[in-house]
Amino acid sequence: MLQGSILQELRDAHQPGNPDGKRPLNFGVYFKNTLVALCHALEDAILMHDYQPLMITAFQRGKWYLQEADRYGEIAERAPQVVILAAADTGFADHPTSQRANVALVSLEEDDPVAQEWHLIILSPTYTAMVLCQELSEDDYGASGCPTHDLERKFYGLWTFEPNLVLETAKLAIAHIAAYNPQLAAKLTDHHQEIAAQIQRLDTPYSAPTVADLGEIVSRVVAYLENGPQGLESDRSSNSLAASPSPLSNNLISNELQAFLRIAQLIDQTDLSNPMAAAEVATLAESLGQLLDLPAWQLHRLRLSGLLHRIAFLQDAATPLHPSARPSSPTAVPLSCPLIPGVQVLRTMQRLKAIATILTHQTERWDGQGTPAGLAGDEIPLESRILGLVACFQQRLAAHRSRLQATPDLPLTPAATPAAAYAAALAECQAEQGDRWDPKLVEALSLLVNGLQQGLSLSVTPPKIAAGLWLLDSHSDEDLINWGASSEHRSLSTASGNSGTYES
Amino acid sequence: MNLEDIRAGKLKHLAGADLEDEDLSQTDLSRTVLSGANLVGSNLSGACLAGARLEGSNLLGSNLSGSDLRATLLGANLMQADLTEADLRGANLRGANLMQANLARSSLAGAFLSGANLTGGNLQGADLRGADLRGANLSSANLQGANLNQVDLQGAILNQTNLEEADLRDANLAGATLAEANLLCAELVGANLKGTNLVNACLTGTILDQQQL
Repeated sequence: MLQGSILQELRDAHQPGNPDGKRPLNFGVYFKNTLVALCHALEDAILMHDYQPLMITAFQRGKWYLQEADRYGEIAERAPQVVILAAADTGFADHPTSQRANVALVSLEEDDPVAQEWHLIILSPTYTAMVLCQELSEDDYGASGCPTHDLERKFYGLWTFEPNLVLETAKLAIAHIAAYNPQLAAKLTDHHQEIAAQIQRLDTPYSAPTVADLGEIVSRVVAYLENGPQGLESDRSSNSLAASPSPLSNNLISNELQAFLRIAQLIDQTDLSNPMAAAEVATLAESLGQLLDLPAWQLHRLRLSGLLHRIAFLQDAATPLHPSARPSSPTAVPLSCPLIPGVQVLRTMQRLKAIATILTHQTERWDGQGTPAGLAGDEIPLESRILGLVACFQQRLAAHRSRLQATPDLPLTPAATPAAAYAAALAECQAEQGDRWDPKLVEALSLLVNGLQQGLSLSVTPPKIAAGLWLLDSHSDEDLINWGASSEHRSLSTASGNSGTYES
Repeated sequence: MNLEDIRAGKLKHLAGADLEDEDLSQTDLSRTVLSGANLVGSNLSGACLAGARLEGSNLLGSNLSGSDLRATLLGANLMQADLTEADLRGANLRGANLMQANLARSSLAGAFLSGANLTGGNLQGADLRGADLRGANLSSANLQGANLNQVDLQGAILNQTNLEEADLRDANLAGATLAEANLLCAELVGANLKGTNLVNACLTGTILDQQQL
């Protein structure tokens, strides 16, 4: 990692175990076309809404900026301040966009490590996003050597919507700009402070202004990664995971999944009363699946569903690019089940079809009185039944734990121990078995809780966001429900071997 | 030996049987004794071999994709076998030959692979959480994006292994050799790196505790 680069400064501030308690960063590897698609999707959000952002971009070379300069002209109409950092090339400063009063150019020295970086920092009170990468050095490419094709150039770093991280990085970028243009840096510092004050006026340390439009933005990210934005050639060489996709294709798929994992991460971060919900639900769901002796692919689906389960509750998550969200034609087949806005965001990624179905039906009830489809008993996909039960159990567990933490002076009686929190949460679920929950699953949960009370320890670790591909397999895009059958004989698809039942 | 009886799950004692190039796909072979059997080039895709005994069997070049292999495969020859998306959780693969085997997206969580030879294998996106790989040889294997959380790689050989973006949190790499390995953006927080040989390894973008190196 280049010393003096913004990525290095940010990494150092987030070293594991650092005294400020900052969360370690999670780096990923990106091919050039992945970064182009990502940046276009994140930038297009500016063109679609009135965010009025401060935008700081580093392009490595001025020639890369010139390729995007017309587009940046449009962005500059929506952004009060755009800053372009690049090693100057011929014509860098002559383009009409460069002449605009609200566009500032910073010509980086050739030996400035930031000239090896690729940044996009978007900062506004209602939308924060960032891509921060560095190109691999010749040594990093190792024995395979540097790529000969431009699209095969590799970068590493991170992208995120996290407001605090974007604010922190913008501050580092402004400090770097100060060495070139102190006046501009002072102006940017004022702007940064103004935006930071508005973001931090919201009521949590992880204030997440992006959440309101996150569904739409992530849908665009996924669509661009899947198909490429207009004018960008897609390199998707294969649509099948089973057919050994190229590394470039894998990288695009990995980033589509990352987009959803990042929403889930943000949702958890903004819920201070239950910030580990996704990781805990994923672990509990997988453990329950193991108790039921489900196959490995189903356990992976359960884990991924657990990690993403709260996305289903995103409200008003418009998906403007997805065909299913467009107004239906007069010949369209009526929907079998009402659409869940949050889940529709997931459906932008074809490979998550099974996960989307699991999340859709996590709110069904065993007695058929649930939503959205009123499915009953074994009609409800097994993984939805498990997920619904486990998510509710975890939520109750978190509430009981919060109450315990809120009364630290309570004498350590059996009623005030973590084991008691397990027992209380389980008892609430047991009271609803047969009505809300599948009784056999509640029984299995009781076994699991018994184990936990007797010292069984489950490893609850947040996912490595940049490496979620191990959770996707050929079963991830299966149909779980056969809606073609009559309502009296609705059945679960058997094509996947998912009979909807299990051996207890 | 009647193949139809095997496919129907009627024969459970097939030790030393010659089943070379046979099609046993989707067959229920759970708890079947296949020790020392010749299964070279056989098609066992989607077969259920849970609880089967396959120690010393020869599965060279066989197709085991999507199979349930939660079985005993002690010292089995699985060279160049296709194990894509196979379920090998908790399987006993001690000393097995998995050279150039395709284990992409397979589930090897809790599997016993000590002393196994995985040279040149494809383990992209494999789930190896908590697996025992002590002394295994993973040289030139591809473990890109694999989940190696809490894996035991003590004394393992990982020369020129691709571990790009792999999750190695809390892994035990004590005494392991990772010369010229690619650890680009791998996560190593909590990993034990005591006596680990990382000569010429690419550690760019890796996440590890400061005191680990």
